[in-house]
Formats: sequence, structure tokens, C-alpha cells
Amino acid sequence: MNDLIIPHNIKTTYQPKVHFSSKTGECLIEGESYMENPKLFYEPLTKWLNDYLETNPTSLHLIFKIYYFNTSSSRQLMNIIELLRSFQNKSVDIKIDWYYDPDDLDMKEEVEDFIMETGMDINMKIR
Amino acid sequence: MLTDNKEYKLFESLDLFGKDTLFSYKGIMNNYVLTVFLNNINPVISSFNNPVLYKKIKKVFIELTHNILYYSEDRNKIRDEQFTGSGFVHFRNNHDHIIFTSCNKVKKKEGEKLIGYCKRIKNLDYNDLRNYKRMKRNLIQKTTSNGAGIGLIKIALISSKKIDADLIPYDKNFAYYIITVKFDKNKFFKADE
Repeated sequence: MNDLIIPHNIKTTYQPKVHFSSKTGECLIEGESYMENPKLFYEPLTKWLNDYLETNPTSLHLIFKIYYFNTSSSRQLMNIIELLRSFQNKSVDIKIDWYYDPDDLDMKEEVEDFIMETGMDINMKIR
Repeated sequence: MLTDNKEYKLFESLDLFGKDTLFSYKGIMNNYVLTVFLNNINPVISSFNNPVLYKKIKKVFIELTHNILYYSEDRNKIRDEQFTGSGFVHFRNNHDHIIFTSCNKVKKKEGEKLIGYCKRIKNLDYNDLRNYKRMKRNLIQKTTSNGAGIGLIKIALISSKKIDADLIPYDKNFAYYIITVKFDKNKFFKADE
């Protein structure tokens, strides 16, 4: 299975960079997310994660370093977290870390809301 | 471009050409335009030396412009089969406040619902507003819309409910839907303020 890599692009600062490694199971989404059509951007990510989890890996570590996302991106992020939750009890060790700025309580509350909505454990870490 | 007398009256009421205006724009909304806006307002909001306020302003600004992009009844073709909403944004920086105004055309009946929705949001306390956001996002997960339908709630949460909505009739079917968000420049120096 190939890695999924979307590099940082100065012309598209509204979409985060992505590095999903099939070798280590470490998956990073980093940057800001306020594209016009988040579904177009996030669907390949969700598909990759689903395909990877279907290979019965021992673990998956998703790291969010998203410092801003708009409300329409939040729907797609929810989809990703819910997908991971659906694999949680299938002997895959799933870990999610979310980094946020200490002065950004709005972001902290967003992550708390994701935890409440999905029932998934997310480790909140100060950037 | 001022296209008719009603728009002119609306713009006049906003003191469009006053010295507090940092910029105003009328036209299509997309991320290219948004990036130009952000590049223009960044030096001004950075000069307040208030990172908390900076983040809040940026978030609200993106939500307001995307609100126009997704929901305006004035739609323009930009690529083959792609349409984007158009509307108006105005950004003012006066002595004590930063004030955003966004305006776009909506169906009159829809606009009346939106005014009621805004009033409802303003009457909720902070925790109820967060619950309401979660509930609405959960409902919209099942639809095909690009937007999440929770932008106004998010703006209310970020701005501590310093949000107002108004409707100005355009004709028998349409109206201008106007959202104003106000930030006190002397607040938010601490994250939990």
C-alpha cells in the first residue's frame, strides 16, 4: 500500500499538508483547513485510512496539527474520527493526538466537542 | 460596483467611504479572494498584539465569507459547471472595535427564518449553544450540502454572541441578509476572557 502525501503548498494555504505512512501507521494532518469543497479534499484521506485499517494493522496513530478549520471541514474531520472509532474494537490499537495553541480555547472546545460527539478518545496536547 | 439604488442606500448606511473602513468588497467569493482579504487585514489585526483576538477575527471572517460562498442566491459561474455565491463584505476598524458586515441575497422567506434563527442563538447560553452546535452538525452529517449549517453558531461562540442579523427587502421574492459581528479590541487579551 502506498503512502498518502499531500505536501504543503504556499498557493493553497487553506488546505493542510498530509503524510500518511503505510509502513509505520503514523498519519499526520497539519496546517489550516478552509477549502471551498472539503469533501473533495478529505474523501481520499478517509478512503486511505479505511483501506489501511482493512489490512488489519496492529496500530494507527493519527496526529492532528490543525490550527484552524472551518465548520464545513469539521464535518469531514468528524467522518475521519468516526471511521477510526468503527475500527477501535477490531484489535487495532488506535491513537489520536490533537495539538492546539494554548491561547486558542475555541480550538480546545472544538476538540472536546469531537470527543463528545464521537465517543472517541483524543489526546489533547498543547503545541 | 453599485448596481442599483437599494444597494447604494445599504452601502451608504454602512458609511462605506468613512475613514474607519479598512476595506470593502462586492463580488464573487472564493478562496482566492479570501486570501487577498486575509493578506490585507493581517497587518492591521497583528498590530493589536493580541493573538487571541487575531485568531477570533480570522475565524469569523472565513466563516462569514464562506457563508456567502455557499448560501448566497446571487450565483456566478466560475468554471465549467462550478458556481459560487457572491455578496458583499465590509471591514471596519474604529477606535474600540473591529466590525465585520457581510451581506448577500436570500429568498425572503428563508431570510425571515434566518433572523429568527439568529435571535434563538443569541438567547442561548454558552453551553446550550455548544450543545446546539453538536446537535445541528450531527443532523447535517446525513445531507449532501457542502456547508455544515453551523457557521452562525460558531460565529456566535467565537464572538461571545456579539452578532446581529438584519434583513432589507430587495423585491417581493428576495432580501439582503446582513450579518454584523463586533469585536471589542480591549478584550480577549487572555484566552479565557
